[in-house]
Amino acid sequence: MRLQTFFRPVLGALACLTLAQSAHGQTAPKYPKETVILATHSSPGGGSDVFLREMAPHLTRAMGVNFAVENISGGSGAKAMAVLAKAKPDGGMFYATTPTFIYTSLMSKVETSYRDLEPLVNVFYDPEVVYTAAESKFQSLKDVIDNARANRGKWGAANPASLERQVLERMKTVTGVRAAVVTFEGGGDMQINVLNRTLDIGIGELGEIKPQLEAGKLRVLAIMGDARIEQMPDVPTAREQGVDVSVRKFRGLAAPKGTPPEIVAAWEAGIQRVLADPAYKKVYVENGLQPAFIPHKDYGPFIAEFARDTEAFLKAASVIK
Amino acid sequence: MNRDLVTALIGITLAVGYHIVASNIASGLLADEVGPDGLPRIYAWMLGGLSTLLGVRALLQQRTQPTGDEGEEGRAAWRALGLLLIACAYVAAVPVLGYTLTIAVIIAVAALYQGGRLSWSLALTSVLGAAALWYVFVYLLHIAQPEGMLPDLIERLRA
Amino acid sequence: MNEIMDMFQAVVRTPMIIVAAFVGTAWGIVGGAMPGISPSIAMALLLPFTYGADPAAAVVLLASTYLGAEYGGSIPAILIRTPGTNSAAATVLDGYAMKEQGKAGDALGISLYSTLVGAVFGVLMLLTLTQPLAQVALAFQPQSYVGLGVLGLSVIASCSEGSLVKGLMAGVIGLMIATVGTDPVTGVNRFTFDHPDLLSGIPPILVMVGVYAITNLLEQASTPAWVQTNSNEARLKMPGPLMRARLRLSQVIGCIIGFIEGLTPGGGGAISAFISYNEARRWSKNPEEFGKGSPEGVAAPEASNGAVSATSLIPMLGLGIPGSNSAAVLLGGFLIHGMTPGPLLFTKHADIMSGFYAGKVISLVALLVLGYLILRPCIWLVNRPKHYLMSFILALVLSGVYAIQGSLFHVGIAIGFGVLGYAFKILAMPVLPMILGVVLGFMVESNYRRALVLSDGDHMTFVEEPICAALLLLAAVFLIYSIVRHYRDVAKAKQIGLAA
Repeated sequence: MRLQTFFRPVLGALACLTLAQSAHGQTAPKYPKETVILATHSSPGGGSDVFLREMAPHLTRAMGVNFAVENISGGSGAKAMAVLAKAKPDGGMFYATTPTFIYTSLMSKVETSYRDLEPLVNVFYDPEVVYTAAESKFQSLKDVIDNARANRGKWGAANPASLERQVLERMKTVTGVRAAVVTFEGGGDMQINVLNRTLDIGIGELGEIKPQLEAGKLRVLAIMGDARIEQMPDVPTAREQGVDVSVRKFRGLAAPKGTPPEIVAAWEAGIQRVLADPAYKKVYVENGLQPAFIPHKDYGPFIAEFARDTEAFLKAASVIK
Repeated sequence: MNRDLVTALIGITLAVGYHIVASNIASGLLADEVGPDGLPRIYAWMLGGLSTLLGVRALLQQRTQPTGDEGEEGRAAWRALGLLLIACAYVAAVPVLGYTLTIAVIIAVAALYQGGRLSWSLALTSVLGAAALWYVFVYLLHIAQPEGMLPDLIERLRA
Repeated sequence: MNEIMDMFQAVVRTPMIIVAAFVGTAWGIVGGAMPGISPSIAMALLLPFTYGADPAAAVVLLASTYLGAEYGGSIPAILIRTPGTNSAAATVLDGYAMKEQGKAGDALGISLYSTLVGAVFGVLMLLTLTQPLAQVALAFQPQSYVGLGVLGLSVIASCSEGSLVKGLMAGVIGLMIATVGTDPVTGVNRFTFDHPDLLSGIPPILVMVGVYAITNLLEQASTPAWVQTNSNEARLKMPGPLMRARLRLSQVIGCIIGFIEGLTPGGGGAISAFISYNEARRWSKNPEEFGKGSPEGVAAPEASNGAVSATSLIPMLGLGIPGSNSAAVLLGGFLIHGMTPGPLLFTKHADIMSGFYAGKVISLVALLVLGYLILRPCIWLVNRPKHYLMSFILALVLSGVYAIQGSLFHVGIAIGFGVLGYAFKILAMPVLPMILGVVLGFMVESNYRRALVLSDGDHMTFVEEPICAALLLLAAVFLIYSIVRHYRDVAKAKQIGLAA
């Protein structure tokens, strides 16, 4: 009945393994903490949770520190932000950033918002792609836009006031077409409606649609980022197809305010090292992630700019006042 | 007053209040034709209409149905209110006293309120009950129940 | 035959599967029995531990937890009127009534037996038809969900004992509760009063725990302690041949409805449990017993829950699309071990899938054994002196509700719904229609508006889409039937009254 007892030998073995590997051949300066907590608002198995848990063992090798992932769910991130803002800035606790924490900060009156945290470094972009059913007639983003101009497009985004919705709305604005943007409660729901061709296109993260992509049931039409991605070099970006929309769904870390510079430096070195690690690279490429290290000095302004854009969008759409 | 009439009045009040809040929902550029306030408004009208119907019917059937023993019902409600206060006291106390202590006290107080006698077995039950709940929720299920201010206070006194 | 050999070999290769099936089921029963710990939370709590485990054992562990939790939820539903999970809320109705009559052992036996029947049926479907059935999920469009939801709401007309008007009022109040939270189309916050804990709405389990468990506590507190309730024999009774024959029809109904609901993502176990309950009553030889301790009223929702626990994995395994929170956690479990559920899962990881299927079968045995073992201590617990029992239930509910999101605000909401339930009792309002409104409201509203966005505001879309049209027609037939019956009963009652 006691699960801990049941899996403890396994966990123990795993811990020994990672420690043994971290013991040899590292030149990194000593990190002030032995165990570091990586917190996320996502529940186990969710996007940020998988990101942290998969990175943790590799990061242990790169930084010589043990990591424990903690799920602080509740209030769409409001609770995790509050916990982190109150934590001591001694390098013992960090928070996985995604656009969600900015959306939550903007959309409700949270006591602690993204402004109360210190963006540390960015690690990845999670590429957003536009896709359609394999047997649909659309071969490029242009086909989709032309169809929407002639008839009336049906486009799907996973959640109502989300980054994905924002991209589709901007696509409507720059091309001037009239398309119905339908929102769902999560990506799976929407995928079904792309597969059964209720929708012309859907937008989502590459990792989400992988099974259907591999099975040849979906086709990616455009990458919604600044550049093509390694996993599918043949698929052009939206900009290449004449639709000037680009978005960067980021995955990085934030720290409590006042984190000392030597800890920041340790993380900047550690993240760069872990991204170059071939063993980890295999894992994250498989998951459709795009390495995107942003150093501390640029990450703060990056987050601030992202928040400004989002706020402008939400205000223009009168989602918030 | 007739029970259905009271229900109808409460229903109408609820419908009006709900409608006022619903009309203040902003609907902006992203809104569909129904809008975020569309169905809530319809619900408010439905509740209002049904309540009115119930009220009118209750007024027409003024031959008052035999009501229960009002005094007995009143006493029952007062006893229920006591338990309600105990539950509310838990919500107020747990952030301060912490989960394990508060839950033990709640078990003891609630048992006393339900007619238990102050005894060693009551004390033992509340301690064992709290320990069992702590074991299941905090230890096994890893639910971070409120720790309260006591650990913090002790640490501060030590420093 | 080959498949059975493969499954057998998988178990021989990884005996850990057996351990995982038993541990998972036990964990699920305990977690499910705690109000507030949903199957998905119980599974998610295990997820971190599966990182180092064998892939087949890991996914078996999670899937067994799901089955165990679906069953575990019914134990407190029957014994202390506290649904442990959303989908156990329908079991409260007759299960607790049976317990009040001193038949807790029978009720628990029926619930265990019916969950097993449903689960065996579901696992058979899972083993044989996953690939073709996954396609069924694709047939459901937003319109279809509107039809499904309206069919569910039509139940309100037949479950409003006494006054139809009051039943409808309660239903509308339920729908109102379901509008709290982020708007499904625009993302605007509605009725949240800027509170972050209300952003994702009021979880239905809070409403259920409130109006069933807390209301019951308040009522019990208001009856003097010296009024003795029936004591229950501390033994579990599995149904005998006569009872089994009586339950058959309601179990078949539960299995079929659970099977369909499991396949359609977003339907959810609670909805199918309530629809099964209502259909079982409609087809029963003794419909008047429902709500007053009918064994069939326990069997139908429990069979449905058992079936859902297996068939809801079909879209996740066959398409890679999780239809429920629990399926999403299991999907996470597959991903962690480098397996991507979807059309290619069975060809790429055939050996692990044999192990997974074998584990599903073993977990059925585990459920029977563990379900039997755990009931004795549970019955012992509810036979403690009343003041201890009541105070312990209060403590359990307060702890469990907090566990949902770690929010004291939620505890307050559940207490508030307890007061509402008490007020409903005083005003003679039925509570079940409100629960249905809460469970179905969001699904109906979001899909209704989604369908209209797709059709450019044309309501004809609901008639043109065949699944929706058929379900709406069915709902209309049921509605007319129950309204006619309602007024016939009222007229009959009047006649008898006049004659007397």
